[in-house]
Amino acid sequence: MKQKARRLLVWCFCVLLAVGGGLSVDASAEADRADRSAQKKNEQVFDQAGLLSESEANRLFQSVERAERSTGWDLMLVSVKETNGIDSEAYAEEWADTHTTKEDGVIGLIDLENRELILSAFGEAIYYLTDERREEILDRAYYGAHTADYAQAFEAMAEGIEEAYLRGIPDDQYTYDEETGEIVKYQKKRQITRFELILALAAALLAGTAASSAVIGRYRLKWGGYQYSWRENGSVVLEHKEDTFLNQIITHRRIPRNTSKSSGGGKRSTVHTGAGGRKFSSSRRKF
Amino acid sequence: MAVISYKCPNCGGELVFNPAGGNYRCEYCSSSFSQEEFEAMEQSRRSDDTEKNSDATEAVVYHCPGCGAEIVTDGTTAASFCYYCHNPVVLSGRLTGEYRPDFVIPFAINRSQAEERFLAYVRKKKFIPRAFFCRSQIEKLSGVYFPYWVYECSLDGRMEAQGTNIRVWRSKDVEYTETKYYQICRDGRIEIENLSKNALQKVNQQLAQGVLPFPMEKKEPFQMGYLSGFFAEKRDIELESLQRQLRQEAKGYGRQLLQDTISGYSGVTVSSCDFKPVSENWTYVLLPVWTLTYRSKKGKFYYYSMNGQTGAVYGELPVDYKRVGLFGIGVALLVLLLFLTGGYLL
Repeated sequence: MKQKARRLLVWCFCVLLAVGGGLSVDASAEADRADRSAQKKNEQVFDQAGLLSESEANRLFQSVERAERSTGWDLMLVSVKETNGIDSEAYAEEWADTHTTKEDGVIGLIDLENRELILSAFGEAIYYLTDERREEILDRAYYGAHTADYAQAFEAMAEGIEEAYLRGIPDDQYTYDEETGEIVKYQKKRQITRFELILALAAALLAGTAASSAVIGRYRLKWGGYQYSWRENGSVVLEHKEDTFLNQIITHRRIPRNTSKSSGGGKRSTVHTGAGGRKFSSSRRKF
Repeated sequence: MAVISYKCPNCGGELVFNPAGGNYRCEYCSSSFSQEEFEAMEQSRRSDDTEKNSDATEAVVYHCPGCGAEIVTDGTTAASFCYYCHNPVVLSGRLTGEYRPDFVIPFAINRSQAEERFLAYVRKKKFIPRAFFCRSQIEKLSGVYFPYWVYECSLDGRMEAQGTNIRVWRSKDVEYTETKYYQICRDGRIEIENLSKNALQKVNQQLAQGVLPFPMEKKEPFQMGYLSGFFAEKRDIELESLQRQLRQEAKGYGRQLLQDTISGYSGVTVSSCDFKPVSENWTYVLLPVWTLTYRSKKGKFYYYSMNGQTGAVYGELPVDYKRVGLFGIGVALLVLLLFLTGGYLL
């Protein structure tokens, strides 16, 4: 009887163990799924160094999403604790090569090992993020990085990238290949935007309607017809003509200066070929 | 009331005014008479005419001097044709006394020329149905002298205005705007001529005004003879009903003439403009108009008026909506193409 009870106890223990183990397996799978979901959700922000709180990561994620919608590029903000001896710029470019399939994009990196900020543009973004604009963005991100407010540094990068896109490609923009010394002037891509198409359709509709209405109106005598020509049939002989100066007012205003400098850096994007064969235009800043 | 039919001294046939030659022609023996010869005959006819017409009331039934048949007209008809023998008759009583026109501008375009000009006019129009170009569709073509009032006046006008001149320049990064203000004064004598208004109620006002302007330098002192061979109407719109409107119009044109003398300013704001009438002259003039009734193949009637001097045609035209639609689409496509090309290249 005692033996029977011992067997029942062992069996119950095993069952409990199995159920408990199963539950623990289920829980870890659930956690894995949640992690993957979170990872997927934050795929533009890779905080490997753990610099951001959850709320900061979420806020940053929204900023990046907005900038991506606006630009159509792939934006990646990455933090790293150790690069294992790899140069920060090379690390950022390699990351871009392995983590995006898009042609156009920007990667911003905070490298804690080298205490360096990297901003690398590739594809179309090279034309928008000229050397000078990249430096401007790093200027803005520097303060955050320097004061360990890394969320602010990333935020400044995301905002700066979107702002550069909205400013458009500078006039006379060119790329300078630092390896070959080749200078290529930017040829504006000839295309018709959706706005231009809508505008053209509206103008065409208006012109067509106006032309038809003009013909119908004229045939139906809605307009046109005789107008007395007062210039031909009238005359005036002036007996008194006086133009007296009364007063004058002079006002002035200061013309706002064009803040975009027209030096070579403003138009130039210096490029080099990354390890993956992709052209990058990169800037770095120590903090 | 006298009913006159001008007779040829050679054969007794009816004389009609010939717009092409500017003379009078007998349709039977083809004799022609100059204006001077016609006036001499008219003088002789008047001295022979014993009928003293003091009847100012309007009659609607006359007897044709050619065949004796009754001619029925409405209250404003001053020249017409006998319905039976087709002789031209002038109801002289309708255009005597206060109703005697001061001037007449004779027809310069005859019937066949009027037909040709009308057909040339409609052929030039690109958006009317093709079936519209047909001589046989011209139902009725009549040369009519329509009554008009012609207003001329002198006004003393005074205009006061404020003028501004704006100059903008830059010095370094400061933009300066200089605004100068001037007081402007203009005093002058304004002459307005040939302001014409239709003086017949029954006529379509739009058609009557549409054929204006007439070359007023071709006006002649009124002679009954000019009416022979045409229809003519006497006025039934009196001066009093038009005076206010025309005086107002004349002031409007005077204002534009005075404003036209102000130049050299970026902007002008008129503060006051006053006119004092100096003199005015109203003349009652008969003007030559070809009226044309055209029946489309679908049976709809269209009415046109043609200036009897210049040949200018005025009237509603039928619209070929298919063609107009295609035209609109063509214009739209062209504009679309231009905009897209511009958007692509710029």
